[in-house]
Amino acid sequence: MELDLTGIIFRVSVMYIYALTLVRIAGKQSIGQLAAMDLVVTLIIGDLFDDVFWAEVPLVQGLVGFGTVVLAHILVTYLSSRSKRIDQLVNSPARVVIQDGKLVLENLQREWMRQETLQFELRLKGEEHPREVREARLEPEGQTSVLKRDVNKPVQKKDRPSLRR
Amino acid sequence: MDVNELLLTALRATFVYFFLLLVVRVLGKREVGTTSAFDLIVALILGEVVDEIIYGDVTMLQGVIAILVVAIWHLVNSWASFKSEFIDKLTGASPTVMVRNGQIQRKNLARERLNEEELFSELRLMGVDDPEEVKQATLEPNGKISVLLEEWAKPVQYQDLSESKSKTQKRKS
Repeated sequence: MELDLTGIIFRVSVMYIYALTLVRIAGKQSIGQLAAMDLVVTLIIGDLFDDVFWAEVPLVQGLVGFGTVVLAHILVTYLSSRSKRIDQLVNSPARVVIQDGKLVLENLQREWMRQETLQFELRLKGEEHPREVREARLEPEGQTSVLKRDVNKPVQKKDRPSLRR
Repeated sequence: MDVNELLLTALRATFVYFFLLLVVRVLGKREVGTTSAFDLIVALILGEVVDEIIYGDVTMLQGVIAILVVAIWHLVNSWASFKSEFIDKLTGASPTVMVRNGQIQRKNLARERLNEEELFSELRLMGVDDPEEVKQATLEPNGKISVLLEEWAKPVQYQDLSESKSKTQKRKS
């Protein structure tokens, strides 16, 4: 078997530039929109490459397969940003898990989220007690957002003129 | 490489993309890649099976079945972990306290194979330079470190001000 080193250099370079171009086009709209799917698509991209590098599949087939996946992803993110219906179809809606200091058990149940899990998500936001929280939501990206009650927010400089100097 | 094969590749890629979109949606927002190390591994598995399907090395049916079996196991695992504390502890990690009331918990650090330098580096990343200020620092099940400050080290809150009521009303208006 010949070593085919120039072939490898050629194919890797073509795929690299091709990927960079497509991801550059896809990038801006898709950031944070479909977090889980963004991740899976990123992994698919990586997965489709090696077969081409080792010439297990022809270069054109790699370009087509890879391009199709990225185009489908661009299309879905674009449509979900334009239409609320499609957004709800591909994205899980944000759910309120704490309202005015109280756990919303119904939504925890719906998301299969244990109270211990919510506790550690709160701790990661520096929050000790649910009672200081006005509203916490499990966001579509899978992270928990935490908004404090007004009285528990840190004091801003504008409210203490004497502190400014 | 004939045009037919290229068309088939595009078709298979389209189908696999939308199938995975469906699977990820059904698994829910916490189940793929975000909550724990194992969720990330599931995302990796789902991403890594597709090349053989798209390039036609395995049949579509085989690919779909493989993806479905991974997804179903992950669903069963999430559901069982939600229902039972025992299974949650068994299949996930539990939080470990690293600092309590300013005291570094060396035993727990050792159990998680972390040294003090690494702990200090994590605290610095959270903007904390003095462990004295820490009421509780915890290595959480998702591998991140949470920091709760001592009461005296917290920023002043509106409720701590004597005129807090009028201030909050003003903020709302």
